[in-house]
Amino acid sequence: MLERILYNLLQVAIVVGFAPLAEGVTTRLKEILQSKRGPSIFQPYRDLWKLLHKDEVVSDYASWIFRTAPYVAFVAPVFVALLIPVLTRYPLEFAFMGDMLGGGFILALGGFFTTLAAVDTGNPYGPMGASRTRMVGFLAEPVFIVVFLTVSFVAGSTIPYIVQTHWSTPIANFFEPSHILLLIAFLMLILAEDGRIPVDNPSGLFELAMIDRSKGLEYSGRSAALIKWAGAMKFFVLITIFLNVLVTPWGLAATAAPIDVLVAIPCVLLKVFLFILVLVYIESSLAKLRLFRITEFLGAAFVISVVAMITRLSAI
Amino acid sequence: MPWVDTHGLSFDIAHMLAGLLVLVSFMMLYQDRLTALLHVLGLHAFVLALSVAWQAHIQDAPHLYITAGIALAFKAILIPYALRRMVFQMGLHREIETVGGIGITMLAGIALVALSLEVMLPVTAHTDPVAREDIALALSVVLIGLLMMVTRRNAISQVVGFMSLENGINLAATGARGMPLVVEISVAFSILIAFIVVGVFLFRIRERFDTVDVGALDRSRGGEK
Repeated sequence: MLERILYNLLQVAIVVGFAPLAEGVTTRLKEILQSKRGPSIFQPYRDLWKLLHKDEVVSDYASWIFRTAPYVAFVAPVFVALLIPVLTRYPLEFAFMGDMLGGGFILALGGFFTTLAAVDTGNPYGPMGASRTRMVGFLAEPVFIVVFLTVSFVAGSTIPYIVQTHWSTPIANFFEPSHILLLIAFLMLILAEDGRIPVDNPSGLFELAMIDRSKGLEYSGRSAALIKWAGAMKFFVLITIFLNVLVTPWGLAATAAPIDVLVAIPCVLLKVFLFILVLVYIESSLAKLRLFRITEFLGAAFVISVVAMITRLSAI
Repeated sequence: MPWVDTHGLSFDIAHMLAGLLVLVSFMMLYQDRLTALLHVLGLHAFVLALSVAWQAHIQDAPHLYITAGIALAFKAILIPYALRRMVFQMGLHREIETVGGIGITMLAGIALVALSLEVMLPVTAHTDPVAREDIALALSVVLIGLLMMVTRRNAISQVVGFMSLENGINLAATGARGMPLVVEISVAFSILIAFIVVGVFLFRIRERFDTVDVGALDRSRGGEK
């Protein structure tokens, strides 16, 4: 009982602690691929440290939404980290507080508050980014719903721990066509949700072309740190769901022995690293889409997820 | 459902490869650049070759490896390469014009997949489970190939649609046990001949109308436009 609570808190700590590292590694690898040296992989931690010690500037016209949004955005992925399998194969203490749809809603709540905050200050770039994020968001929503409906139909449950066990036992389930199609649809969804390259350029500094990043332009000091950290955690949580539930449901602790759980930590980090390699490859070999091509990109993801559902429903 | 218990690893890998073929067909529908489309055609044939080789493995039928080799050499490498050369030689405009938007075409693609699964699975209810599901997915590849031929104006992308359709037929044929090698070789050669004929046609069309947009043919026939 106690150890299940402890492990649950441990996995939250891992998400909070290693999320900036994942971002640092991504940036570094991208720079290396462009024949540059790039910043240290620990640079995000230094940025956060610096920002946390700076004064904050808040517009006189900003309301309470602007002040609270960073905290909501920060808490949302932390909360989701309680629900998903990060280290163990068996459900932990708080796993049944919410299912996958619940987790999706909580992540969306964080996004909702940052969007409101972007509109709040009256900075012209904020609302522009906010409306674009909403556009990507509502195009991504049907994909999200179809993917999770199919997944829960397959496993007979919407709790991620149960879904994960279904894909890996027996191993033949892993190769079902619907599973492979779902993987691809979900990968496209992650790229869109996290503002990665075919949809948005995460390292772009040109305000007019920004989608996701322009929402945080007005923040400074501690709030900016929280927003940055929240973004990194959301990315980490999405990857963890993708890897541990859908792609590689292996390398997780099967028993409650502390040694098993500790061994699972490097396994998870290794999987995340491999995923980042793929992501860097995708990001470096594609060009950013025009804004109106995003519809087609997410439309394609939707088509793939629906085909997955159809093949699943016809019992293939 | 009675057929669920037959799910073994080898069945599921066969189905996965067939499913990937459907996925690559959708990638073809998504492409709006001619050269990228030809790369996807190569990928399509490559997945087909993998699928056929896997069938050879699970059916213990070595002659299917030859089929896989033919798919790999001719369809994955030779034909896309030749089409690519053609595109560059003719100096074609490399964006594909579609009838209707890409999104609508892909939605129609979903409907075709659903249709072929709904039609094929009940019809083949008493046959070998690997074959029946492969045939259902192969039919959707064929239908998507047809859809592609219908919705593209550019003659080269119509050829690509035709080639992917043929890949679908090939998938269906290898899923059923005991397709003789002679049939496969003659099919492969007829495809090559068809390709040559189409190539000659393309050059003739281009010579005469200065475009490979098949809309131009309507004009010469005295139709509207």
